[in-house]
Amino acid sequence: MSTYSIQLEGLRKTYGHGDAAVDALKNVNMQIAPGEVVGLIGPSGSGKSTLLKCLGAVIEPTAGRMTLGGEVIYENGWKIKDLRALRRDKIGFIFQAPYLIPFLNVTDNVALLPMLAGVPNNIARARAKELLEALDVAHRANANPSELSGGEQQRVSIARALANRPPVILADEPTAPLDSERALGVMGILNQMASQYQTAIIVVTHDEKIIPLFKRIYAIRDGQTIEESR
Amino acid sequence: MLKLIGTQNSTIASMILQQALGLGLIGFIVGKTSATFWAPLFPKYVLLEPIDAVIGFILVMVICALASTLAIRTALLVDPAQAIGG
Repeated sequence: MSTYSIQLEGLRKTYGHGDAAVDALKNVNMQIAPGEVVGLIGPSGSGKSTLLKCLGAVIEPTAGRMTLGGEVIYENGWKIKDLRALRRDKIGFIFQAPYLIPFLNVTDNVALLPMLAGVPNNIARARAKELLEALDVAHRANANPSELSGGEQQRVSIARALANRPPVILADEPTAPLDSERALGVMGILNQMASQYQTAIIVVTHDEKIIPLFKRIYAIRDGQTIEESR
Repeated sequence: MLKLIGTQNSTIASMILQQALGLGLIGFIVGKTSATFWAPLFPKYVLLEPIDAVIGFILVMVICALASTLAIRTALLVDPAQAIGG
């Protein structure tokens, strides 16, 4: 069993067949330990989104091996039958926009995922409350998303990503719409949450404000990863 | 986004159906209340029995449920990968 939260070995993704085949990912190798926050950078078209989609189990790689939370989920085919449950239980997602559900209040937005996973409502809400307190938005627990500031909404979306205590969080440009102060605040929260819940976090970013904050960065160019340690 | 984070299709369908029925209920209440209070302002009356209101309510709910199937079908066809990247 892998001690890494995320381990990719020779991951490849090819779109199309024969002469029309395009290698979006060629030979991606990556190891991320529990509690680590790692940046993923690269120009447009380099394969970042494809890699994130493979890690998020929404597209199937073509070859290689992928381990999430110590469990092999891909090796010459999916090793897990229920990918929907895998995404719900093992992977948290944070997006550029918070995508909170407008007709649910803040607590229910966070509690929704554990409820979908079968956690009793009272326990799911208690877990949501604990996360909202940790992220300093507990005072907005009964508010609707439209009543929150951009920074507060993003903190709620971080709480939602953590709600099922996943070993892995994929953050797709989470600071892009925020100003410098709020972007640094979100990065501080991600580091704190990764350490507190031992969650490995991959942050895909173009945001130059936050790039210096990563201890480790994977650069992806032409479908291949190059680790740029700092 | 709901599909990406692992929501069952049945849950998504149920959420859309609930919203459609909720909107139908609000529409019916507003319509029925308006009709009751404004009817005397019109020169000719149409006599509505209580059973007509019940039938009207059932029809509104059925129409909303049928209409929601279009939205449910569209939502269930969305690829969860669309929520990631560009």
